[in-house]
Amino acid sequence: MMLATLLLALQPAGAAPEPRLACQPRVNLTAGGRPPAVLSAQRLAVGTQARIDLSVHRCPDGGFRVERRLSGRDQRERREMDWLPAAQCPAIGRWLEAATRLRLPSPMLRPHGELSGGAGGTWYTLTGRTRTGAGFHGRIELEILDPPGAAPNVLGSWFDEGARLFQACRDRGHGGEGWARTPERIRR
Amino acid sequence: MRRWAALLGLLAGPIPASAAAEQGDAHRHAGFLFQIRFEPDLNADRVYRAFLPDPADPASLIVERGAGYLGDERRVDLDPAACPALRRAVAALADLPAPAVALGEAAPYDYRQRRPGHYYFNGFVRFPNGGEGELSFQSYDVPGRPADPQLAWMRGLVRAFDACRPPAR
Repeated sequence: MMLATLLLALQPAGAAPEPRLACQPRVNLTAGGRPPAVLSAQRLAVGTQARIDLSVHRCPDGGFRVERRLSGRDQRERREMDWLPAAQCPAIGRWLEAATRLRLPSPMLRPHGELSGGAGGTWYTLTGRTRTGAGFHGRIELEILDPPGAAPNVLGSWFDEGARLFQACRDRGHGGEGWARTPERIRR
Repeated sequence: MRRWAALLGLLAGPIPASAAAEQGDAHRHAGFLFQIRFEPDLNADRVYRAFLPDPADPASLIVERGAGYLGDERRVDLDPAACPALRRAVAALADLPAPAVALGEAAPYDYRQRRPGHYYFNGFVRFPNGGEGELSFQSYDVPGRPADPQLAWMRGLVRAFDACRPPAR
């Protein structure tokens, strides 16, 4: 008995998971699929159809991870999905917080005309949660077309800043690419 | 059932002139402003659509209540002359803030409780840089719980309309 205890104590401890990978996206094999993103935003250039998609997901430790997808014409992926935990890139965490302070305009009280996007226009979209007065999740969706040459609107400025910060943190080696090899464990 | 009847009618052959006019009625108002879909209960939708056919004339406002599907025969139109409270309810939209994005977790609704009334909004926004697009949001009316500004406005408009023309039971 003592020998067995001694042998167990002398066994090398399992390698601690690398913090960088703790929030790597994992394939979810449950029937319902992955939990929905906490927040999702896109920029689409009408002419080139170049699209950047940033989506925000929860990490197992309660933090957030931003995933980036780049696609082009016909939604063909331009590169593999990459991801960045906010814990490794405080700037992206602050950018996330800024989403809650976006000052969006009130709805219009006049009919909207034909959107004058043309080939040089840029779409920005945002899909996220709200907190209703009753304390439950609500939902908000925005789809905005900026005319060619226009300075970015509030939503566009926020998005472009996020895309810039994401790239800057990736350039410093934070985050990673692709999915983890092991599927997400089903939590009970 | 009526939707199926309308669809079968479409497939059966050419539509008589009078019937064609009724089909076209679904889009009879110009100048769409916004819509609110209110679900007081499961499978009990009411859709309120606001139109301003003449943008230069606020008196041209029309608010339509219907079931929200093509061929709906229970649509009711009201204008500010017939329902002055409706004009105030619509005008209040100009001061309504869009809901803020939330990142935190919220308590899941206990569906053993009575289902709350659901409100959905679809409308348009314009940014100072000329960017324009669509805005959608939703909220829940839970008895005894506080209302957010968006719920208070949507509920106010629905109640103003229904006070002028109560919905059929």
